[in-house]
Amino acid sequence: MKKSKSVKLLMGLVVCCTLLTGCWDKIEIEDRLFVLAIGLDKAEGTEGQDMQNKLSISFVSPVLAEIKEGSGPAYKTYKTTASTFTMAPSNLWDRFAKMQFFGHTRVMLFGEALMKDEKLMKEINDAFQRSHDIHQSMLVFVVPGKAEDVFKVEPMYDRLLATYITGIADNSTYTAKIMKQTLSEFLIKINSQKGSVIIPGLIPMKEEVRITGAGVIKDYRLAGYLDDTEGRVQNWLMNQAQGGSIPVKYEGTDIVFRYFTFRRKIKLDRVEAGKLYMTYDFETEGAIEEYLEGKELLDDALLKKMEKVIEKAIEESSLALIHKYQKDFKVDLIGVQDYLSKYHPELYKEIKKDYQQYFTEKMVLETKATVQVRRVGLAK
Amino acid sequence: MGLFSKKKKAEEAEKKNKTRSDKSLEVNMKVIKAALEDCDDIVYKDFRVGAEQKLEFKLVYTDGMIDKNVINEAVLNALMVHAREIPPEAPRLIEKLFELVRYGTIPASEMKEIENLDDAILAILTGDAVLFIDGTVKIIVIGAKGWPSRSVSEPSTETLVRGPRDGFTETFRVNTALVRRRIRDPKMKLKQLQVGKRSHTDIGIMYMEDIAMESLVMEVYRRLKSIDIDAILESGYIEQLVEDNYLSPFPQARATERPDEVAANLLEGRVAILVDNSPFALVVPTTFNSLFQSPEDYYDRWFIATILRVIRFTAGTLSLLLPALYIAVTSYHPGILPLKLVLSIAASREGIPFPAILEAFLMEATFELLREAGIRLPAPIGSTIGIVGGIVIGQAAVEAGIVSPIMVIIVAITAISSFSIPSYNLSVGIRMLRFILMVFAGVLGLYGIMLGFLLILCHLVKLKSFGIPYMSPFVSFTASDLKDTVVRVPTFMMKNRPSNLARNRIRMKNNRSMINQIEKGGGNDDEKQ
Amino acid sequence: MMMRNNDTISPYQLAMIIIMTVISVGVFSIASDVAEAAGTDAWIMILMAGIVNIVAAVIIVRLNARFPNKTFAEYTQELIGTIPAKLVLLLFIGYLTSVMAYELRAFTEVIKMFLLFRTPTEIIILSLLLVCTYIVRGGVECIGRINELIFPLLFIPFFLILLPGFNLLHFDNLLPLFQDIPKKLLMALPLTAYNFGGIEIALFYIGFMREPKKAYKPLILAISFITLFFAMITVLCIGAFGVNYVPELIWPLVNYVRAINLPGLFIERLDGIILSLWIMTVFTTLVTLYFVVSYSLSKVFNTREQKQYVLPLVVVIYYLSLQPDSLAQLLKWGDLLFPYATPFFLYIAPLLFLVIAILRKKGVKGDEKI
Repeated sequence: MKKSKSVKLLMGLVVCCTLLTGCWDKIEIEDRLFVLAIGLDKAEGTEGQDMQNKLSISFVSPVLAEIKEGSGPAYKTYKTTASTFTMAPSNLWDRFAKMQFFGHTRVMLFGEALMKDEKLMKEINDAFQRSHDIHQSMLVFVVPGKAEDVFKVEPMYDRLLATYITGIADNSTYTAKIMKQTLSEFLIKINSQKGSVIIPGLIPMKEEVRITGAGVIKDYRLAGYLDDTEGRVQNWLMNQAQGGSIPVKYEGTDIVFRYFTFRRKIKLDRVEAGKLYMTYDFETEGAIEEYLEGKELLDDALLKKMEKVIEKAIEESSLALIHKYQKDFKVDLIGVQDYLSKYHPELYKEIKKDYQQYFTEKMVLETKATVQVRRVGLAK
Repeated sequence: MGLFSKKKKAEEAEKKNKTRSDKSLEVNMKVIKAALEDCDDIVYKDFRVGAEQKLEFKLVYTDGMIDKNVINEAVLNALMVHAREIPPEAPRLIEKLFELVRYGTIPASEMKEIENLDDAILAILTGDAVLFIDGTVKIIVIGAKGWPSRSVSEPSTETLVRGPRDGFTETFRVNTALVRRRIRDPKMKLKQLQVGKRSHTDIGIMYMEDIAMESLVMEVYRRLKSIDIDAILESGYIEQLVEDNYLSPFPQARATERPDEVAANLLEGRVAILVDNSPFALVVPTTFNSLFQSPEDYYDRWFIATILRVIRFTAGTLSLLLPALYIAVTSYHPGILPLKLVLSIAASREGIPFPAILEAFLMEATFELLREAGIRLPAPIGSTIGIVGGIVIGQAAVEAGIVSPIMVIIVAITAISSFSIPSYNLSVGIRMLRFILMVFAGVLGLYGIMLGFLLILCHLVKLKSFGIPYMSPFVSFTASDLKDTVVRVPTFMMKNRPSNLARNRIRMKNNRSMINQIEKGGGNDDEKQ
Repeated sequence: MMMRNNDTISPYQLAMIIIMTVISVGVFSIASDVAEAAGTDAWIMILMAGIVNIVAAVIIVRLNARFPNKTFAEYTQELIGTIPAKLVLLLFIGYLTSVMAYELRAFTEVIKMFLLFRTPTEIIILSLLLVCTYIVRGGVECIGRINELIFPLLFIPFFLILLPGFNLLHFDNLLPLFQDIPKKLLMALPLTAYNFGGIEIALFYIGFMREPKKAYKPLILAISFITLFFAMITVLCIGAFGVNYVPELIWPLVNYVRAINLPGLFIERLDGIILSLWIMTVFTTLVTLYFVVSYSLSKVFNTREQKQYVLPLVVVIYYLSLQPDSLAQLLKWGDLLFPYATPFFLYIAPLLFLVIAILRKKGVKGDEKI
């Protein structure tokens, strides 16, 4: 009985002590500065080796009082320079009364100049991987030009820039030309593909931004861009397309094929004379809901012909991009390596060492599309 | 055969210590009057009986506690009028006279004879009429209890939509009758004893002889016997005096006003303690699970009952955790909530002068205050004041910028949740723990809540009510007992009684097959025709 | 002596105790460890390790079944004499105490990394330890019940949380399968097997059962559950992140949960929730080990009650857990401790004692049917 009393006394004491000195981590919600978007740029200035603050970081945070009332943008942007990413918040502590909070960051933008700096990229990637307060489900984009320019845009309808951008990215469900990539996916890919990755592009305009195309990163360095259509093909090649539309010309008339599923498979056909022959198989189905007035579209033979045209368009455009990768970028970001390592591990072991050489020189990649038009709209 | 036969000897030994009555009426009355001196509500009625008016009788009772009709009809009328026909030789055969009076003359339904004055005094004070006859040591106690009492009415703390409307009253005998009416089985036993040195309160232990564990009944009896107190004024006294852990915020006996609930619990093998002067019967042992049950669960169809149970358990959790979660999330981990919600909370909290924990404490305490005031005030004003006060304080506080509107919502939700727990005692306990959890959350955030939660779990796991783990059937796992927890399975599936309570586990036979058979049989009949 | 019912556990409780003991701090890191050693075959290795441990469990039950109602602490004295038995017991105590200290410290590091950044380590350790003491003082029955109660409270939400992450999965990340199995069996299996450390406490808990023979089923079921659970976590992590990225992470499961996004609900991010749940797994592990330690101490010093050792142990465990300077050092010490101590107590010691028992014909032979 005595002992249990002493236990309770001790417990009570500990609780009291905790109470008196406690609340180490408490930051009230209104004292936090929610960072909704981060823009990373290489700081301007001389290209000196020991430049102190090589990063220029811009942040977007909401103004709490503006959220409920008022019109116009409910956010403010601010900027700081720092030597590393983790230094940035601490540089802000002597300027702001509120604590920055990254748990709700939605968008991360990389400036072009930054992406071309290999060392800087490695540093930043590592910072993101280790950071406990950076949430990896934010979206990443590359901005041709400077990332901070994006934050000068005042969107027409949305009051928060970050949700505006994520809203656009969510449209990737409907059109394959929009790419959507989270920081987590970006880090996983750049890590497991040894520094090569695709990153969606974002261009600032006057009152809006556009998510378009993509940047190709090779060995932690921005090697080039893909344009709109190439971005779409990229999604096809990586089996990431969820839907979209393909415009083609059929006998002089513009028709649009809208697809809702798009599947890609890679097949290793044969290995001959040290060369690998592979095929990309595309399978898609959808609808054509536009043709000429007076002409009957609901006609199997006609549709078959149209399918052929669409198939050809798909095959040609994807083959073009494959060749671009093989000839220009000389990096495999179209899933071949992934496929070989998973489905042909024995073969992959042999070519693993000089894979890049194999990819650029000893691979013959073909494309083959199967299109099925299922519906033609309400009219015959 | 009875459980208590062993105890009888001890009781008999006890009797010997009491004051024996004397043959002489005068001597007896002296003792009685000395004991009841200055008790002006005692009535002494002497009368003489017999043709020669030589037989001296004395009727003693407490004014206001007896039924005057019974006394007049059964005793005075019978003795004074009819007894004139008693043969004159009777006085010489005084023993015979007693027999005559005891078994022949008085047409009262409840009578017993005693031979000591202590019991006589107790009987007088209990509301019985006591008849002394000169020349015999035997004293007749006539059950003529009758005092103004509340009639059976709907229990106010446990109202149901579907179910019987009768509730216990303050009269012990009415209460036992209400239970007995529901179980007409000789196996339903009622063991009575009196507790309280001054109050001599009647206490009844009710149990089903062939269902309840013998050890449990004996344990209840032992604990009740061990009570040595001047008075038991309410069953709450008993509850606190027999509970296992006095430090626990959780009730270890279920207090109920409903006879149907008592009957159901008896049939599950529990023991009920009925206390005179209290409309609340105690049911032991009680488990955490049973406090979330309402008799209605068994009267409604099973999926309604299940949904209600789920709602109640959710309400319990919310009532315990919600303010603590609010504190933890706003002060420590805003990352958990979606962006828009976070921004609107942050915007609404901007300008609030207090940290979240103080804000929560302020509002929860205000609510408790309102609730308490609402109970204390007379009923017609009480509810109005409660509602108006709530709105005024809530709204005014928000408009004055002292608390955020979100906090008011949280307080409202916790309040509603805490009222949807069927057991009032449990909901009070949970309310208390809520404040402790709020402190934990204020100091250590989510980790603190988890610690507090684990501490509560540990406590619940350690707790036992009359030897039954408080958390059963969630612990000491038996699959068939889980049929009546968060989910209440269809009645025909609840074939067994709780495994750790009942000796005789089969409760019913499954009649589903019969019902299906009749359907088929009907089909056959049609074919025959 | 004690109150009736206060010193037995049911077979179901035994299973819960084993599950809740083995699943502890390691759930967050197991995918990383195993993926590093075995690549895409990680989950196969875990299944293999499960089989190995089932064999070990059978040995443990065989040993215990020879001595009904006696724990390891009691029957070893019968087997090899009082003094040597007490030495073995002290070794065991030392091992379990350091495991507890290790778990606590690893736990604190995770909490400090994800939930409380500035709260002192001491507070986090002490507060959890004190909650543990509260239940450990209740005796073995309370240990059984708390594990039984926490099991559904932990795993139902746990699975519910992992569910929305299924769209992160790319099952072709699990390919290729069956590469270099023999080599991996040699290299990766031992490493995987000691992730099951904790089963050895069955040596004690079976002694609290009324019929030790009934321990086969719950123990095998428990280990199967653990195996499947570990395998599932590994599949999830590798499926989501690929076999190249998982070994780079210290706690891949946390990353997995952090990558889940739940728009349009009350809760957006689940990492706070899963960390809170995970506190329960650590708590149960600590509690079960804690009881074994205090119980063994009472046997070493021949005292009747284990209660009196509970509070002094707080100081020891607290002191030990503060010893490592950093997470890196902690992990290094863990690598020194587990690969040697766990196999010894889990595989070698039970086998050794079983052989001794058979040779010296001690204990009840009975029918040795499973």
